[in-house]
Amino acid sequence: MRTLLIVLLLAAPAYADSEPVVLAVDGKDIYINLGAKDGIGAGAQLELLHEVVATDPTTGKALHDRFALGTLAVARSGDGASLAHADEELAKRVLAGDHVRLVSDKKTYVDPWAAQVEASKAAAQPAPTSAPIDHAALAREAWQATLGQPPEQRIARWQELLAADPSSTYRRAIETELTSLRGQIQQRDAALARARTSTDDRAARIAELSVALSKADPFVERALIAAAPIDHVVPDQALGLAFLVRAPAKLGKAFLYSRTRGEVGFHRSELRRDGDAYLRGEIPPQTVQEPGIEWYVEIAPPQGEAEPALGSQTAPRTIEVAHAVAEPPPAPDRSHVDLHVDYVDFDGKLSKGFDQYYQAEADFGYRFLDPIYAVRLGFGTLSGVGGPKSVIDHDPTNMCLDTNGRYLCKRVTFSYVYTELEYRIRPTVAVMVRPQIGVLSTDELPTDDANKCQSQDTTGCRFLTGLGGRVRVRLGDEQATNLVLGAGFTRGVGTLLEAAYHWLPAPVVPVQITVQVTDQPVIEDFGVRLIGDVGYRRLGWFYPSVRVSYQARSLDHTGVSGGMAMNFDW
Amino acid sequence: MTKLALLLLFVPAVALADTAAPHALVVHVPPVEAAAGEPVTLEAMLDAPYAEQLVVTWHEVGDPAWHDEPFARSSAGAWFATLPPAAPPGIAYFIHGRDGGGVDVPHFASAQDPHVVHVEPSLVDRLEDLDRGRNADLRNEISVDVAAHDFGNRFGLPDRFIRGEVVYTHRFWRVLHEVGFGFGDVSGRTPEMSAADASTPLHASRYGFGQIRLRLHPSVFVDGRLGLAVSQNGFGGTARGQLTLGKPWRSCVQVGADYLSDLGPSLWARLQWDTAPPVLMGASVVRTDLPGAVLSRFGVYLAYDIAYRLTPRVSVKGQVSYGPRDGSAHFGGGLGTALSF
Repeated sequence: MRTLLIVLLLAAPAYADSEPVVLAVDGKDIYINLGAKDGIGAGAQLELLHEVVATDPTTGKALHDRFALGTLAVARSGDGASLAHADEELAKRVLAGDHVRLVSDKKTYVDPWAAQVEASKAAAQPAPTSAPIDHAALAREAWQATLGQPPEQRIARWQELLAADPSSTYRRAIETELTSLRGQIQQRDAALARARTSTDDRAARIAELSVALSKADPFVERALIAAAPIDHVVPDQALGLAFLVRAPAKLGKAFLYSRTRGEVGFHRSELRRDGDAYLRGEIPPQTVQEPGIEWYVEIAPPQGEAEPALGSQTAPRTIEVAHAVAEPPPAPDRSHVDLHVDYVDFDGKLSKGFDQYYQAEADFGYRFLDPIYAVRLGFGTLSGVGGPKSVIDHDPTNMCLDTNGRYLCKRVTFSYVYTELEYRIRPTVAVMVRPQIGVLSTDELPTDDANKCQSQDTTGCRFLTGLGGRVRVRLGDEQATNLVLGAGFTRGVGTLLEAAYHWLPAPVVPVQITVQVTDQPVIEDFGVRLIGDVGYRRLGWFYPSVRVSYQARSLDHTGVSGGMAMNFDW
Repeated sequence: MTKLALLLLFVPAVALADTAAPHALVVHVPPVEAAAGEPVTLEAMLDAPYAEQLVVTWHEVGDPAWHDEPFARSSAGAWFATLPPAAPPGIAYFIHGRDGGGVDVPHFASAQDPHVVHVEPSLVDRLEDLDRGRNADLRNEISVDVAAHDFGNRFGLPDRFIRGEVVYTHRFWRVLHEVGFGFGDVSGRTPEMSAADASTPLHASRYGFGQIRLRLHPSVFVDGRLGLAVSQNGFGGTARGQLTLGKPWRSCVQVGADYLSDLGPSLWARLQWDTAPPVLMGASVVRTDLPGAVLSRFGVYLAYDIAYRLTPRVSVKGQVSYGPRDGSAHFGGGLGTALSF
């Protein structure tokens, strides 16, 4: 306490222009940074103020408010500081740093040293000479020059006077003052030396303050180092951490371990010392990623092995990382467009037969990956003619007439739209569901005009809404080797079962072999189709493909046909 | 001790520039995060506070101007410095003092290496920042779009429409993502029945509307539109809604519906992809009764559109469509442009 008191008193003049405060408390003695130059002297009354920080809950604004605790009576005053007393009850509540306010009237006090100078001036009138030296004026001038100066400068100024006026009548008084100033300097230096903080003293002071902080804030951790709680951060930003070292004497080195949750190992970085009692470090932005951060701190004493101080390798602390909202650049190979047409001839007579159809589709797809792997949307047309195989094959007139002369074939046109959702159960297992709807026109009269039901003559045409769907399962890598199994049905058009095997015998040559079982284009006899489709990917974003198919509803009801496609990948 | 103290009371001034001058110690647990809009209070324990003038020097991250906040002591004994309500990305501070000799004494961090208290922006704030950057902080847009489709007809009768809209949009980029108002015109002819001698009167509607877009989730948008219309039959209204899964400026799926009094409803599903930047492509399946068709419910077309941003302010788009209503399918198309400012 003594050391501190000396220090504060030495420092008091530096605060002459600041707000009046209690510099120190020593029992009933209370030292104030107000003095005679502030109009304070013995008997002056000071009001003791405490400050409180209050926050308006409606605005969130904090304000500093002061309130009076009681009155202090000044016992003695110096030029810039005073000693005051308080009653016993109030004295217990006074703390260094408290603000005070003068409540009695200001008075003017005479500097005793200045008065002495004036008095000596009157008592020592020099004898008039031809060149009289005004010793008093010189001494007064020197005195004025020393006011407000540190003792070293005062000594220098007085020595300057003695050199300039060696016969000064004030020489003895000045030499006495010089001795006094030198003594004061010695006392000050001794006090400062005692106040200088050694490492041990700092550690003790910090430990003491840490204990006080823990008492004031019960949420402060009691570990060797203390960290503020942190729950959430945003991703991709470095996270600076700072720790209070509660016991600096026990600290040699400290290490921060951090990792993104799910990573195998922790990244280690040494924490750097900072300020009075702190350690600081940083978790790099590449670690601040979803779903969160795991971290802990190890501390090594000056002579010893590092041990966990906050968290540990097996029980790290965690920080949640918010979802990233930054938009990644467009990912390549996420969209696919294909335009394909397939001509199917079951009876080998091409356009002159009664079991042929074509199907054209424009398909647009995008792979979102999550939560739905891909979405496709398309528009298609299936148009053709079909009928009972037995009638088609056995009609000697080749007009699809039965033995009674009835025409039994139908010409259908189905224009439809669809959407398809692909969901991945596992990385190599995908399920694709495709509902579709369209307009189905059926012409039951014999005609060679494939578009008759779309023309003015709608005789024999029936129109209905064609509802249907298709479900497929893909096993394997979508863009490499995979097997697709599927089944589909459309009202009025028929059923389609298929198995398709896709692979890349060469990186630029996608190949697909498909087996289909279908009764399309009309719901009659089932047949089998074998389809080979070969593409050539010369460009990264486009490749054409051609297909050849063989199909049969029986061994004598077969045909070969083909198709083509244009595929765009971006 | 008292004698010495009294002696020193009369020391007029003391130079404290000595490097061994007495210093305070500041002990606090540095906060790492703070809630947006809440003041940041530093609670500390100090000793020898009279030895220095202690302050917290702070600034908002990104603002070069530093500010000082002195410590104040509470009646409970601790010391407090309250920094003002913080905004993302945070507030940076350091603690230092100035001793009697005028020497600056660091206690925690420094101006060159301040400690940052992170203020986590809300999700909406983060999304708004992204939107602002993506749009070069251009909050307003005027767009002009014209689209037409010819359905064709089995009897060679006209069955087509053309629709044009001018829309002003102001972007907030919050949950209320944008608002807009506009004016539109639809006109066309469609047979009153599926017959060769069916009449094909002119159907038209001119309408004004207000619309909003809500961002309910980073990747879910809902558009709504209400308006008033006047058609060949008189006064009416218009309404429109659309759900976007994904982001309208990136790959997404959109489903929507539109109704114009006297001209009928439209429904659509649209897939958009951004995989060939700077081009944005989309494919739509549209089922529509425009322009007030009654002869068939099967007016459907497939539209393929491309948008291209010429400059940060100007974008253009084009569309081709193909689809039938009563008879063979025919083509349509559209053009549009948008100016941001």
